[in-house]
Amino acid sequence: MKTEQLRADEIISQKPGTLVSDMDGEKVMLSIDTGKYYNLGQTGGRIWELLETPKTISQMTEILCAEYEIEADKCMEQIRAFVTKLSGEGLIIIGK
Amino acid sequence: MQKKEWQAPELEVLEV
Repeated sequence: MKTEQLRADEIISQKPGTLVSDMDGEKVMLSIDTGKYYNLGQTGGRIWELLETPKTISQMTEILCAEYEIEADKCMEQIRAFVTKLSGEGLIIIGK
Repeated sequence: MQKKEWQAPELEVLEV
């Protein structure tokens, strides 16, 4: 099955209906819709924070490259992969 | 400001 790759300029935001808690610097999340629990980790938790307000992958890359030791290309690809997983679990809204 | 060490973001589904 071929899935379309998320574009760097698509607007992404959190989907309402999750509860998030900090545990030892990592974010753990409960989806109220599905009852599933997720560990977002440290970097994933930071990305989730950024998605409190709608952002593109490009914008998140710029912010995270300023905070972390990471090359922009590598950072963007890893953010894209993570956001694609979030989308697969129905945790984010894309393009609105 | 010193930059933090990057860890690849992972989404882990926790078992109940």
